Amino acid sequence: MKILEIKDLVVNYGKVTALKGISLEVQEGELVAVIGSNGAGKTTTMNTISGLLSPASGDILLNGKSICKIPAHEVTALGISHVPEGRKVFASMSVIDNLLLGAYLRLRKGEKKQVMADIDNIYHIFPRLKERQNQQSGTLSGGEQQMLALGRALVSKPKLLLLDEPSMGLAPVIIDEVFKLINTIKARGDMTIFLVEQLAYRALEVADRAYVVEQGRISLTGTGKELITNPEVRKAYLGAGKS
Amino acid sequence: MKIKNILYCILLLVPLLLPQVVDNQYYVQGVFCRIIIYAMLVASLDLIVGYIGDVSIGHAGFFAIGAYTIGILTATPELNSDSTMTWFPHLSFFTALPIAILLTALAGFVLGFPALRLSGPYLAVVTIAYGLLIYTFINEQETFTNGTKGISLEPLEVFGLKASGSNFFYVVYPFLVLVMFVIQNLTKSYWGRAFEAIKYSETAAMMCGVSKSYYKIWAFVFSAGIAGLAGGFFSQLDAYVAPNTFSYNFSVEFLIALIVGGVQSILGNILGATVMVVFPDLFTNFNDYRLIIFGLSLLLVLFFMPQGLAGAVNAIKKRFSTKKTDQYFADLTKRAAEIVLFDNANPANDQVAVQLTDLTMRFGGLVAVNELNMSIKKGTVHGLIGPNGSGKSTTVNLLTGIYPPASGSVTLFGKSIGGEVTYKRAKLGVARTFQNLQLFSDMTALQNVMVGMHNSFHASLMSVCLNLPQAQKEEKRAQARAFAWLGFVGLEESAFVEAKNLSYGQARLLEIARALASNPTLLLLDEPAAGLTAGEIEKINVLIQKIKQSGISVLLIEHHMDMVMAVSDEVTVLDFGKKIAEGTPAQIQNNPAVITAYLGTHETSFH
Repeated sequence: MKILEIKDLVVNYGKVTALKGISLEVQEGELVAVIGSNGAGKTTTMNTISGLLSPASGDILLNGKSICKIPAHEVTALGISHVPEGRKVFASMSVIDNLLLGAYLRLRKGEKKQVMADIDNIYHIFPRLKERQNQQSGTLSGGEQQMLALGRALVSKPKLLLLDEPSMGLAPVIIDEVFKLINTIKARGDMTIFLVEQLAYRALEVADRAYVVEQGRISLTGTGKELITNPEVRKAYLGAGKS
Repeated sequence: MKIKNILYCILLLVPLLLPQVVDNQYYVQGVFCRIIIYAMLVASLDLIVGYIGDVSIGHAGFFAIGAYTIGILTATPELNSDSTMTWFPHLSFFTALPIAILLTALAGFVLGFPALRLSGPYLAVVTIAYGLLIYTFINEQETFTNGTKGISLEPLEVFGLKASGSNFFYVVYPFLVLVMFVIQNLTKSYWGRAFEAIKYSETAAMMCGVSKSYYKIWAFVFSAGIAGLAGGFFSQLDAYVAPNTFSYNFSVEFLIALIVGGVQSILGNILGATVMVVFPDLFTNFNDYRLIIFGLSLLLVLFFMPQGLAGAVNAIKKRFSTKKTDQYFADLTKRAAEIVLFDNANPANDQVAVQLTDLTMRFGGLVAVNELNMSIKKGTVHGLIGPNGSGKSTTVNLLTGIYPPASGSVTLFGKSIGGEVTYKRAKLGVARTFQNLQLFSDMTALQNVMVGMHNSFHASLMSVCLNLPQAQKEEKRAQARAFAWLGFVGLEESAFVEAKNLSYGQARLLEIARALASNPTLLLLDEPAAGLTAGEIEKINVLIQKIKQSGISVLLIEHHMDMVMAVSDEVTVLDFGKKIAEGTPAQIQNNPAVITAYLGTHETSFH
């Protein structure tokens, strides 16, 4: 079943057209990646899904219902959680407060016990966060902040998780960890993941399917494995020296 | 160009006809002269708000110092016979005016110091207090100021001629032209760029060699001096000064006038002052609703024209001015072609450029960098890698003087630089780029690079303010050179694009161009490839090779191992602030400790 469907999406920034008609779909339980260079429109696509931008034309359907006109904070309530590019943790707040804010809607519904259990679970996955739970999150290292941003999204128990550049500014070992976690979440099977990533190789490895975006349009699509071996993709996005 | 200048001069003479055309003293003195005086004050406030980016709600205080200095120094006992004043130096207006300017400038100098430590709402509160202090002082010092009753002044005379009434216009108008001319020149020069650079990023400005304290304090001195001049004229407007005029409200009104008119614009300053003087009168028919309508119209202006009136005018002007930039672009291209960027280029040798010895940095109990020893040879690329939080950025901050080290030393070509402040290190040859881009966002790419060249400007303040040939030549040369730097990184086409409108990849390149523009001997690249694709990284690799060949030493912090391994001559690995490995890229890739702590076992991490 399609959880997300994007139809002919056009998004403008003033006079500049960032997305020139993008169509894609994500099946429930799938991990779909979008790769492409800077300014191709990856983050714009993501921000439009989560309601931070509104499209000039086209439509976004979540479980068959249009969410284009719905503001960002209500989109979250529909089960979409967005881990933004550059992490954007609430820097002057503590780690635990960041996590609690991620569960804001659930706490309002009175699910305090389950939320605390989920936070414990996050601490189990990222012990570093537990060690630092009372520390101001702005003082965490880049890798720890990425863990926190992921954790903050996970405690809201989303149906669809949007991950924007989770590897940015992280050490290779940490990237290993982040992608291992993405794999774990995927393996659990209760969450659909839509991933935008600059490290094309890493993204294609974990993705069931992927789209390549070029200058606001989708230029290629296929399974992760197909794209990894595609000569054009290899030349443009995987760089030399990778086997 | 010349014809245009003559046209401007004629245009400037036109307002002198005003008192002839408008045969009504109320309008000429009460409206036009008032607008002129307020425009000067708004312009002075613009230096602080528009350029330095601080908020002052105390400018009425400076205005008062100017007005009262004139009042006290020129008053006569005859006109103030029943006052409590005891001191009447009775100087002429034009003798008292320089004293008023100097005194106010001094007051600005004093306010500059809190401005170094505070910003935003905190500084705003300090300026309010400062304004109130001056207000209260005037009120209380009755032996000098006659307290609340104020000082009456004689009508102004210049060379025996009556200069009050409509004639007052001829006195103030030339000063407006002069003030605007100086402000225009100052803000378009390296001074103005330094002011703005501080506004957008203090750290980046200091890394370009801009001393924050020097320029911030000078901005306050200028601003206050001009406000003092305006205040001096203000005392003559009604030939009477009283403390009530200079209340806190007055400061707020000027701030509103500045924002409504539009910051960083002389046109905006004049429009703002005009609105402030004329608008409340326009609505007199509405009686009690007058101020409500005034307030509403201001809200509407700001809602529909967030850049103020001048911003709206500029947006319209921009549509018609593409041709001019085309020509300018062609001219710059031609001149930049003749520039040799690495003029003292000399290849690598075994000389040690940078030496870190037992460098240690602690934050509270955390040892961020622990007895680090490292040396970078001249004209080589030294990779610095390690997990997030391992002390790489702290090392950069120690090299650039953001933090003073707890112990240990840093030398550049044998000379200790560990004790130097940041902006001086730029002069000594240290430049850096920022992982989380710190460009001067509202300035063009070209201007960003020109801030990087800050240390190459030597024109005197006088020469800059009056736009003398020395300053003009220097500015022109610098533009060509900055353009050549943009060419070096492949950004010529974006020379006139504001930094905030550059794509992410372009912004990364601009950071490098700005850093190179200071002619460094050591370039610190802090994750120059973060967020870039393989193709873009390849371009940066080529740039680094060129930079290295010119004899500049590079310290490269990066998580893209393909890049680090391809360009580095030597690599140091940090973990928990300690060096865990050092060697050639090949040695590092196969070092088991590095693989566990950092590289990981993914097939894209070389080993």
